[in-house]
Parts: sequence; structure tokens; C-alpha cells
Amino acid sequence: MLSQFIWWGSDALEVLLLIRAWQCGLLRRYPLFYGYIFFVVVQDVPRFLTLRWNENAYGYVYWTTEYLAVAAGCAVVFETYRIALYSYPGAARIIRNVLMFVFAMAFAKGLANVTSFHQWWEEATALGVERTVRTVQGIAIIALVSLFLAYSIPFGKNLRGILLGYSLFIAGRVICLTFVAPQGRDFWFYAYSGSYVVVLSLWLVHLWSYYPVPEARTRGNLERDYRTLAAATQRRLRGISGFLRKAVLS
Amino acid sequence: MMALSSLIVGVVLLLLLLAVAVKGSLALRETPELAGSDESGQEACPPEFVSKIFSHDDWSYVRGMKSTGLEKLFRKERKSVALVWVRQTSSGIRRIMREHAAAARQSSNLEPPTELKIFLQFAALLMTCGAMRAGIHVAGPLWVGGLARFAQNLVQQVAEAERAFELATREHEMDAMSSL
Repeated sequence: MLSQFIWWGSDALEVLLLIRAWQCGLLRRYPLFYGYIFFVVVQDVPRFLTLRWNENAYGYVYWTTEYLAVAAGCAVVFETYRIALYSYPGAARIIRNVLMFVFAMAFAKGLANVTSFHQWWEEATALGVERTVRTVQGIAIIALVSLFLAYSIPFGKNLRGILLGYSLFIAGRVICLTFVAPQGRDFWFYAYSGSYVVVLSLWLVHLWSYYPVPEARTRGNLERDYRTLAAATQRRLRGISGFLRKAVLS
Repeated sequence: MMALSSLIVGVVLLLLLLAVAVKGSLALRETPELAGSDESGQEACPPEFVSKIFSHDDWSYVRGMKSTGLEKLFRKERKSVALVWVRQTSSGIRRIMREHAAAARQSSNLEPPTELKIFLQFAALLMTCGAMRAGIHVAGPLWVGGLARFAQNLVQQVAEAERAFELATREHEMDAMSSL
């Protein structure tokens, strides 16, 4: 009963999110994010039909669509990165390097899994694979959000909502997948599905209307000369270090 | 092992989200900075006071008066002045980094190794301030000053010993070469 409620509740919220996006013109501003939501809505159709007509094949259909959703989720992270850092080429470069490193690690880990797991469709193995992939996504988001915080990148309400919601979704998934049992329905099973309803509500609040991403304040040419700027910052920090030493040793 | 690392990633991500939410709400309440004052609105500590904070001179004078009450009051006052100064200094360090980040993020030729170096310098300074704050809380500014002087003497002694060792090694090498 509860799982039915979560299922239909999630679908209703997803459809409402898509309708609002179409009404406010958010669809063309965040196409990958709404593409992801659309995919999540559509994937329920084959899942539902398989559950109804051929229950034995449900595992295959579920995990195929789940892995495709994971791949679509990576596109959401990419869209956040692309839009938020459009005006910040320097920060974008650093984040690109970090993400490339994280995804190279993920690729290596994935390759190792392919060679060690031969039965991807078995419940326990599939849960383990999803947990691994979600963990890598989590690491990528941690890197992205840390650099956003370090460089004080402004988001705007819409993008902040997408990032907060998706990060919460990944954090919830990773934690639940650590504890959820491969068979049966315990607390973590419901937490796993129920957390998505919370995420959808968060998205709905942040994406009810369009809010522009704040423009980057353009600075002078001197500040754009990175080497001069870096040298000045290092000099200032060294100055503070000397000041601290002098004060304590006086 | 994988389950534990997944759990750690999940928890770190949740904490980071909390930081984003807190930062967002703080940004909404942000007010223009006052000239000549730090982030807490306090005026900057004058340089002539700074040199006295960790100094033993005033303490020797107060101890010479042989009044327990005065000694207690002096320690209390000096401790609060030292803590305010450390807080001002660490907010100055954070301001430098904020200004750097605001300018650097727009630069197209930003260099990751330089950024890492600056970040490490920044982290080391903040850790020093944190350690000083802890030391002041636990044992007072006079002890922190004494410890710093002890550490500096130790570093100087090690450096001198290293130089002496280097000179001795060089002389030994020269002797060996001349005997050939």
C-alpha cells in the first residue's frame, strides 16, 4: 500500500514538474534535467507493464531502466556544471580536471566490476553495482559542490534547486543502498523510495517559476591577469604569516 | 569496505548540502562590510597592542605587584584580547581568499597547481589560527607565546646543526678529493 502510494505520488509530482516547466519556459533552459525527469516518468510504463504481464522479466526491465536513469543523472550533473560555470572559465577548467579524474576512477572501477560480476541481474549484485555507480556520482557531486563553494559561484534559485535536489537524491540513495536488504521490504526499502518524493517536492518548490542565474560581476584587466593575482594573494598570505609570527614572538 | 566508503560519501554529501543551505541563507542576510573593521564589526587591533598580546613584559610587571586578584583579572583580559585578535586575523585570511576566488574564477588562464599551493597556504594559516585559539583557551596567550619562542629556538638549533653537518660533510669530501 505504502509503496503504491510512493509510486503514484512520485509520478504525479514528476508530471506536475514537467507541466510547470512547460508553462514557465524552463524546459528549454534546463533540457537535460527535464529530459531526465521525462525519462523517469516514461520508464515506469515498461516497468508497470512487465510487472502486470510478465513478472519474471521484471528484474531485467527494472535494472536496465535503472542503469539508464543513472546515465541520465550524469547528464544532470553535466548541465549544472555547464550553466553555473558559463561565465567562469577558470573555475570551469579546474572542475573539468577534477571531474575527469573522478570519472576515470569510475571507469576503472566499472571495468573491474564487469570482469568480476557475471550476474548483473541478480538482486544483490545489481544493488551493489548501483551503489558503486551512485557512490562515484556522489564523489563527483562532492567535488563539484566543494569547488562551487570555494569559488562562491552564484546559482540562482532554479539551478540551486536542481543541484540541491539531485545531491540529496544521490546522498539518500547511497546511504539507503548501504543498508537496504536484497530481498523483502524493510525500513530502508521505503526510505529508498520515499526519499525521492522529498526530492521531487524540493524541485517543485525551486522550479515553480523561472529565476535567472545571477550575472558574473566583471572585474578589471589587472585582476584577470591570473599570474599577477596569484602572486599578490600569495604575497598577502605570506604577509599575514609573518605578521602572526612577529606578534607571537614579540 | 565498499559499503563503508559509500556510507562516508553519502554522509559527506549531506553535510556539504547543509553547508550550501547555510551559505545560501547567510548570503541573503549579508550586509555591506564596514571600512576599517572586521567581519564581526569590531575595529582592527592597533599594531602597538598586537606586539604586547603574547609578550611577558606586562605579566612580569603585574606579578611584581603581588596581587592575586589583579593577576587573575590580567589573565582574563589578556585572554579575551588575544582571542579577538586571532579571530580578526583569521577573518582577514578568509577575506583574502574570498577576494582571490572572486577574481580568479573569471580568469581563463587559471593554473590548478598554483591554486592548490594557495589553498594549502590558506589552510595552513587557518590551522595555525585554530591551534592558537585552542592554545589560548586552554593555557592562555603567554603560554602560546612561550611555546612559539621555544619552537623557533628549536627550529634554529636544528637549522644550525644541519648547516654544521653539511659543512663537515663538505670538508670531509674535500679532504677525500685532495688525498686522491
